[in-house]
Amino acid sequence: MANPSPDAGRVRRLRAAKDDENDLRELTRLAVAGDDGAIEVLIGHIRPMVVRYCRARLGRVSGQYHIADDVAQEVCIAVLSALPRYRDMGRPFASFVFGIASHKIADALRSAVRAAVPTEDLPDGPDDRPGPEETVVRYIEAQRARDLLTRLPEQQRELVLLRVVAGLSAEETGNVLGMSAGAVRVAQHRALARLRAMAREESIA
Amino acid sequence: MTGRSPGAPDPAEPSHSGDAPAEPPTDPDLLRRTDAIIEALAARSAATEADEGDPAVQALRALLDDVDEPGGLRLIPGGVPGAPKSRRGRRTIVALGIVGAVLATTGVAAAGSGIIEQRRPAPAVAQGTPAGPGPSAPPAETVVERPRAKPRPAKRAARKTSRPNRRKASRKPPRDAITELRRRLENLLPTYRGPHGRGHRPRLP
Repeated sequence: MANPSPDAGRVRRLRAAKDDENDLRELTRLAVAGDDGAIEVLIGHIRPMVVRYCRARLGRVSGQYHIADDVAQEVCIAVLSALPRYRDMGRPFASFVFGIASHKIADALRSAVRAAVPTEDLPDGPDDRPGPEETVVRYIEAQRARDLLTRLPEQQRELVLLRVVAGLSAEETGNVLGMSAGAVRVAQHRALARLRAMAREESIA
Repeated sequence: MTGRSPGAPDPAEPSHSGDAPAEPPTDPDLLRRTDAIIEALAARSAATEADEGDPAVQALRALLDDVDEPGGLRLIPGGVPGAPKSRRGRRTIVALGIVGAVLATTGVAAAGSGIIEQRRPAPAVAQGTPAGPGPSAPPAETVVERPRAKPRPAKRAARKTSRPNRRKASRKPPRDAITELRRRLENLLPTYRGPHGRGHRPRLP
């Protein structure tokens, strides 16, 4: 893709205002039309959400997120490839993206490939990351949260992941799951209440 | 018409999933409160005092802290927005540079860099650089042979004498030549075995 951006000024404005739904729709339209700048901004917008979502769904393998990150990369590539065929049918672009993500994650869970674990690169300075004890505690707490989520009904679990981890709005989440925004708010309330109850039961136990 | 058997669901009531009992209508204030909590989590806002005692919020925050970890996004440049930048790129360059230097001194890079040397134009041969014998010497008609058997300082001297010719011939800035050499070295190295013998291919940022 080497299309110059005829709407470079508009893309610059959209880069700053990409969280607004209308601006995102405009950005998507430009990206579908092949505008390189718009494509870059759009992928940059969805990539962090996809990474977090894949990490939350797939978890760590041998202490690392390399499989989840690989799946996230596949999702971004698939979105890029499918962009020319995307048609705005009134649903947010997030529905399109997370539909692809769900399929890729399902494929990854089915294959459950244990790839080679990448090693750390050579250190070139002081390590500012948390120490090993703090890291292990964080891993354990995160896995405990995932365990709680797996005990939710599937739709509530997906809803919490999309709303909290991926950061989608209630409207976007509703479009992905086939619900209204109001139904999302009711369901998220029930999901949080159920998580609260399960967490308290575990604490007592 | 048959009567409904005792315990059968009332079709007039809203349907619900088999694994969740029917729940009473929810107070709108509670829905707004939960939505605010969800939005705060999604925005990665600081925890409030009320959230500190909520085990569900604590669990979700632990999950978010884990999936937002910047490490591991080796395939996705830029990492997670807002997270500290990884030094992995510079580490990769350092590692690749060290590997390249080691291979250059062992002669493996010399064999591989015969690809570069084969492209040297004839005037470099006229400089009178003596041809060196070696099992991996490229064809004589194409190359300026460096004295492979000589110790390192002599090789450096030979390279220095030939460097002006390469510059003259290729007219490339030294930085571009180094970048090209690095890329070719990368292609020649199928796998970089780290200290634990686990493989991964070195990548340039």
